[in-house]
Amino acid sequence: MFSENLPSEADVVIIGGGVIGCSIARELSKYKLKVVLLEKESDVGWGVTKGNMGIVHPFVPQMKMLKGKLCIEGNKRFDELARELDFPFRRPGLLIVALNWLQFLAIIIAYFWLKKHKVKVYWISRSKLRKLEPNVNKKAKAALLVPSAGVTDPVQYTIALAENAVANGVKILVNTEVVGIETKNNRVHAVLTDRGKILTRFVINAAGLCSDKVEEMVGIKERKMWHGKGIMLVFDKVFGDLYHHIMAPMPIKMDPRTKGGAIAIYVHGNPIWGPNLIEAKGKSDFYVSEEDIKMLIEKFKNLIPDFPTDWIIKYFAGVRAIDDNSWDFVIGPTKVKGFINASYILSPGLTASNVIAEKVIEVLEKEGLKLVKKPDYNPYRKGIRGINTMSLEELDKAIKNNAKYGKIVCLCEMVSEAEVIEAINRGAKTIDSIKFRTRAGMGRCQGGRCLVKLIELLHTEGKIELDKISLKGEGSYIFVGD
Amino acid sequence: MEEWSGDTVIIGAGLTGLALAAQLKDRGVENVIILEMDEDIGGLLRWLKHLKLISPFDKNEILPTELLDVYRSKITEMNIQVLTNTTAIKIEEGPRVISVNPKIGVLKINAKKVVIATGGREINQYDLRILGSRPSGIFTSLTAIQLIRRFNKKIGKDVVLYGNNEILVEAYLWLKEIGMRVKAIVCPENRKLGILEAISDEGIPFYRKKKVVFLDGLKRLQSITISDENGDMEKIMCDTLILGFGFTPDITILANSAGEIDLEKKVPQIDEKYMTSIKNVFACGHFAKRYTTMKKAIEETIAITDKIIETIN
Repeated sequence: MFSENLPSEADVVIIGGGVIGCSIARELSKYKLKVVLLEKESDVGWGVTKGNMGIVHPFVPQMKMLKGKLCIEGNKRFDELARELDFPFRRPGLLIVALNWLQFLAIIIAYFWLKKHKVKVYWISRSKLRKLEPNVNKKAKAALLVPSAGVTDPVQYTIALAENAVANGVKILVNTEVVGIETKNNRVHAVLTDRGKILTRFVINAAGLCSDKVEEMVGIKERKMWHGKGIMLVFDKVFGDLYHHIMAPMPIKMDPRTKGGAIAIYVHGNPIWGPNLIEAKGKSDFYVSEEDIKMLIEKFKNLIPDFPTDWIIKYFAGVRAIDDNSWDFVIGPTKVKGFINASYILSPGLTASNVIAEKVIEVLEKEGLKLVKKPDYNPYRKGIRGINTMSLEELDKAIKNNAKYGKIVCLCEMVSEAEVIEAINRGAKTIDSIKFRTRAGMGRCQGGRCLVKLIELLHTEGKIELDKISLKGEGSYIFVGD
Repeated sequence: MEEWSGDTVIIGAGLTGLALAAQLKDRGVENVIILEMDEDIGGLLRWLKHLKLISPFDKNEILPTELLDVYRSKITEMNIQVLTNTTAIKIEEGPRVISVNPKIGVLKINAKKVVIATGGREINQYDLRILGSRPSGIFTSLTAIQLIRRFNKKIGKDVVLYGNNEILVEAYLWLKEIGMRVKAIVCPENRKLGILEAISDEGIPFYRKKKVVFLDGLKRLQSITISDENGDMEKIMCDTLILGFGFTPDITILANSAGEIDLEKKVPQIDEKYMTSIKNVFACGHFAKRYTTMKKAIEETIAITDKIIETIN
C-alpha cells in the first residue's frame, strides 16, 4: 500500500496521514493529479486520529463557528462513506440525560435550541428512557434523543480512506518526515523531507499536532497551539450491552473550552468512557494518571450507577492540536501562495473530515489548481472481513476456502490468522498496525497471548527481520540487547 | 459444518484438562474429546522447565517437561481423543460446543457434559493499573518466556522484574540462560521469591513492599517509578519490565456464551459442584479461579475432579 520511493515532483503534497490528510488524499484522487501524502509515523492514523473516541457527533454547541457548520454536514456523509469504504459505522443515537431538575430545565432549552437549528431531536420521558436504557440512573428525569449520533473506528476509517486513495493513484509514504518547505517569490516551490526533495506548487498542512511546526517552515507564526489532552477508558466488552446509546449528562455550563465527553459503546463492542480535556505538557504527553481515571469514573458513573467500573481493560490518552485563539478549525489559504491549511483540527474533526476535505479542494481550485475528473475513479474499497462478523455458515465456508480462517490468533477479539496475513499483505509492518487493522491484541488480555504469534507472522509472512519487528515503528523494537 | 457428539468435551489440553481427561477415562467414561487451540497439548507445560510441580497422578514432585511426557503417554495409552488447532468459540445450551478447526471448518459437538479448562490469562499492566505511557518493553512473564524460547533472542538490555508469582522466577531463569541482565527486582509484598532469594544475594537490588506506579518512554520503555506505602517514589532506568502476577480466569468463552460472571472477583460464577450458570457446563483450573501457585491449582484440581466426575457419571 505504501510507496517506497520518494517522487521528485507532485501537483499536491499533503503533510500528515491522519483522518484529515487521508480524507483530502481521497478527495484529490478523484482528479487527474499527482498527489503525494507524507507521514512521519510508520502507518496512517497514528497521531491525533488514534486518540479519538470514535464518536460521529450530531452537532456541537458552537453552531455558528466553522466547526459547528461542518459538523452538521459531515455527520450526514457517514452512511455513504461507510458503504463505499466498508469501515465499521453505526448510529446508536445520543441520549442527553437530565439527572436532576436543573438539567431538566436545561434540556428543555436544549430541545428547542436543537429544533431551531434543525437537528432532529426527540423528547424522551422518564418512563420511555427506562425502556430505552433499563440500567440508566433511576433518578434520571428525562432525556433528549438525537438519533444521528454515530460511532466508528477512527483508525480503520483512516486506513480505508488511505487504501482507497492509493487504489486511485495517490502515493503515500510513511516513515517520511518533512523537514522544510522551499518557497520562491512567496510561493511554495518544494517540500524537503528526510528522504529527499519533492517539487510542488501546492502543500496542504494536515499535520495535526505538528501543524504549527509546518506553518513555521513557511514563516507563519501567528497562531499559538494549545495541546488538549483527553483520557479514555475502555471496558471489557462483556458489558457492551449494559447500555446502548451514546450518553452524556446534560452540561450546564457552555464554554468552548470544555469537552463534555460521553459514554458510548465502541463500534467494536466495548464500553468506552471519555474524554476529558486538560492541558497537555506538550505534543507527546500521552500519560494517563490515576486522577484522570477517577475523574472520568466520577463524572459518568451517575448515568449507569451499576456499571462495573473496575473492569477497565485499557486506558489511553489522545492529544489534540487546538488554535488557542479561535478554538476552531483552520482551513484555507495563507499568505504564502500554494500553502493551504487544514490544521488545528479539534473535535469534531473526525465527523467533519469529509467536508473539510471538500473545502480544501475548493480552496485549491480557487488558488489555481486545475481539476479534471478522472473517468476511472473508483470510490469503493473492501475492508478486511473479520471472522467475528461472520455467521457460522459463512465462517465454515471461509475456512474451507482458506484454512487459515480456522486458526485463531487472538481469542479475546476472535481474530484468525487469515485476517492477520491479509493485514500484513495490505502494508502492516508493526504490531500496532496489525492491531488497528484486525483488532488482534485489543481485547481483555491486551495482547499477552497473541504477541508471539503476531511477531511470527510479521517475520514469516511480512518477511521482516526479527530485529526490525516493533510495536509501533522505529525505536519501539521488541528484540533488543543482542 | 460438521456435527459430532460425545459424552464429555473438555476445552483446553493443559494441565487441568489433561488430568481430568485421564481420570474420566480411568473411571470408564468412554467418549472424551479434548479441544486444544494450540498446535500441541500441554498449555503452560510447553513453556516451563524449572518450576517444580506435583503430578496429579501420584502426587509426587515433578518437572513440567516430565509431566508433559506423562500426559503424552497417557493419551496414547488410554486412547484419549485430542483435537489440536481447534478453538472452542462458544457453548450453546444443550450443551453444544461450537469450535473452529482449519481442516474441519466449523465443528459443533453435542455433549452430555462440558468442562471448561481453558486456563487463565496473565495479569497485565492495565489490571495492575500501572499508569503513564504505553511503550514497547513491557511483557508478562509467560510472554517473555515464549519470546525467548520461540525466537532465541534477548528482549531487553536492562530488565526489572516486578511481581510475586513463581512464573516470574521461571522467566528469570530464562533471562539468565540467554544472558540478559536483571537490574532490579520489585516485589509488592514483604517477601522473597524462592529462587529469587539466591539472586538477590548475587547483588541484584531487591525492592520489597514497593509497587511500580508509572511507566515512562514513548517508543521503548525508558524508566519506571516505584512507590512504597507512604508514597515515596524512586525512579529506575530500564528498557524492560517483566510482570509476574500470575493468572486470572480468562472469561472469554463464558462471555461469548452468555454465562454468568462473578463481577467482584472477576471469575466465572460456579456452584458447589463447579457447574457454571450454563447447565452441565463445568469450570476448573485457572479458568475457575485465581490461584497463587501452580501446586495449589493442581491440588485443588485433584480434589475437585472427583466432584466433577461424580456429577458427570
